Amino acid sequence: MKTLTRQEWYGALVAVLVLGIFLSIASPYFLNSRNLSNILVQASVIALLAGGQTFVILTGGVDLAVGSLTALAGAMAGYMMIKLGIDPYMAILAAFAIGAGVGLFNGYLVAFVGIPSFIVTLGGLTLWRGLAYDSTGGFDMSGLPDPFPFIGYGELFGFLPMPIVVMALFYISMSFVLSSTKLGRYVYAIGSNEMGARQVGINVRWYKLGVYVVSGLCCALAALVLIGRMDSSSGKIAQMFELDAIAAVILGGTSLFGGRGSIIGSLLGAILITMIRNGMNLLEISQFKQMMAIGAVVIIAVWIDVVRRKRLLRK
Amino acid sequence: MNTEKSVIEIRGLTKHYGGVKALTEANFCLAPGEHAAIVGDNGAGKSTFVRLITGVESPNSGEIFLDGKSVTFDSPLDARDQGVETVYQTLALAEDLDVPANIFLGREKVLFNLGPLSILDHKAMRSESVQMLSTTGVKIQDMSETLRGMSGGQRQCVAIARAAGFAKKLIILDEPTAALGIQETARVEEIIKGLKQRGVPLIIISHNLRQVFDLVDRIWVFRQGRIVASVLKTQTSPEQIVGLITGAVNPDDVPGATDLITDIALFQ
Repeated sequence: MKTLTRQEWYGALVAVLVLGIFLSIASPYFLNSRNLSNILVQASVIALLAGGQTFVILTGGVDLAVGSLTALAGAMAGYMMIKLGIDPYMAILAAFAIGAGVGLFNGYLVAFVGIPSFIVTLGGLTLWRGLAYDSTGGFDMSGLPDPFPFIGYGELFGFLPMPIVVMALFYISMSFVLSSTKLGRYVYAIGSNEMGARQVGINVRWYKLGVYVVSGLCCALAALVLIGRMDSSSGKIAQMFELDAIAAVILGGTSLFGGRGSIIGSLLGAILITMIRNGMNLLEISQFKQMMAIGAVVIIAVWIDVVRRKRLLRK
Repeated sequence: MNTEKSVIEIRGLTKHYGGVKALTEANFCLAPGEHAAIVGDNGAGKSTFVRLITGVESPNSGEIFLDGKSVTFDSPLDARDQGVETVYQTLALAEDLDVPANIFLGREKVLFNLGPLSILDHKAMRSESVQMLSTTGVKIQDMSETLRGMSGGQRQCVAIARAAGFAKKLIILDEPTAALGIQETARVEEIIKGLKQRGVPLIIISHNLRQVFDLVDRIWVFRQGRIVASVLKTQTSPEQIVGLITGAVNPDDVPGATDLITDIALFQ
């Protein structure tokens, strides 16, 4: 077993603890169970997106369209339930189908056609957002039927908010998939040495396609939690969420170059990003400065990644 | 030549790319437990030969026999499944995975087969890896260390141990020490000598004649897209091999150098 300090997510853990201690001292409102639970609830949507993003980034790709795809899945599900009167569970299925469908589309273009993931998903960023507005006429749908209020506001055993439960179950299963299944193993192998992975007989194309489908399904799940929490859906939800999701993955110690990283790091990264926002709100720092701070954090995280990679290669 | 006795026998293997005759009428064989070297100048047809017998490309004509049975390879995987393990120069290792993960890469042991979500049997893979490494004589201190922290020589040893562990018929090593320092080269050579003692048949492609004479039983000389000579190490000298490679020595003037080749040709 690798010792704690050598885990990729160790830095993120230290950052969460240090920031936590700092905020506990700086603000009287930070350290109480209500605020902490609130942070986890707020982190849940980003954490779900970051979980899927981890698979993509580990293979050396990136999915810039997760915010837009979340909006598409969420807006369509809301539209179906409220405008078309479709059964909520069918709408949930439809959201997952949309996520998987867009994932297949992205994965096909990246793995089989050979277009860089950056381009495919940068196009998707505006393509799926546009489709989300267009297909729902740009309207907000509010007052979602059951089980959405439960997904957004329900509490398991009377104290565990559902978004946290969803996030926890998601991370437990995803960390199992990454550590103990063929898919997980091949995700790392492809990110480390794609050519070598092909030589040992791994079907690189299908597995690469697979990670975009995983990311798409995560977007659908995130969309369901998000519209549940907002009790409404529209094409403008999840704006810029791709930035937070990618930042969470990178802050969690996963390398943008692929091959190195962990899913637990992404959870810590999502919590870290949310804590930064929460802390700045508590300290009454303006929205504009918050935008600047998050951008700077992303750049610093990638900076650290690049320096660390150079050091590894030198060895 | 009796095909029954050869681990691999190749008759009349030919590959032409348009007008370029990369390999013409190549005849080759490898006895059980034998270690053979393939030598020749750049462009002499060595790489084409290796690509053909590892399934990377298909020949225009000619036949390959494994243990006396005629076979064809549709892909490198197919060749591997039929018992021909190849260690490429690029090694095909994932630097970010640990040793057992690399040894079983692409042929993981699973507890439940669920397609891409098949559940890995970490324990079995780990213990079999330890077994494979010790049989091959490779020492790795920490099995859970990723390959990134290891030297080029250690990585090469892991790749060879993997090939030796899975090879049902023979191993092909493509320039195994080209990128290594002196000490590391010595280590890899020890591993190859160990395979000889265990009777694992092996073909090595090498430019290093010192190494060739140190390791193998028989040397096959390629020249201008043909296999021109096959000599036992004990019946030749480095000077003679250099002469055969460059064309300064006529193979017909070397006693026994063309015997095997013409023998195989008779079977066609």
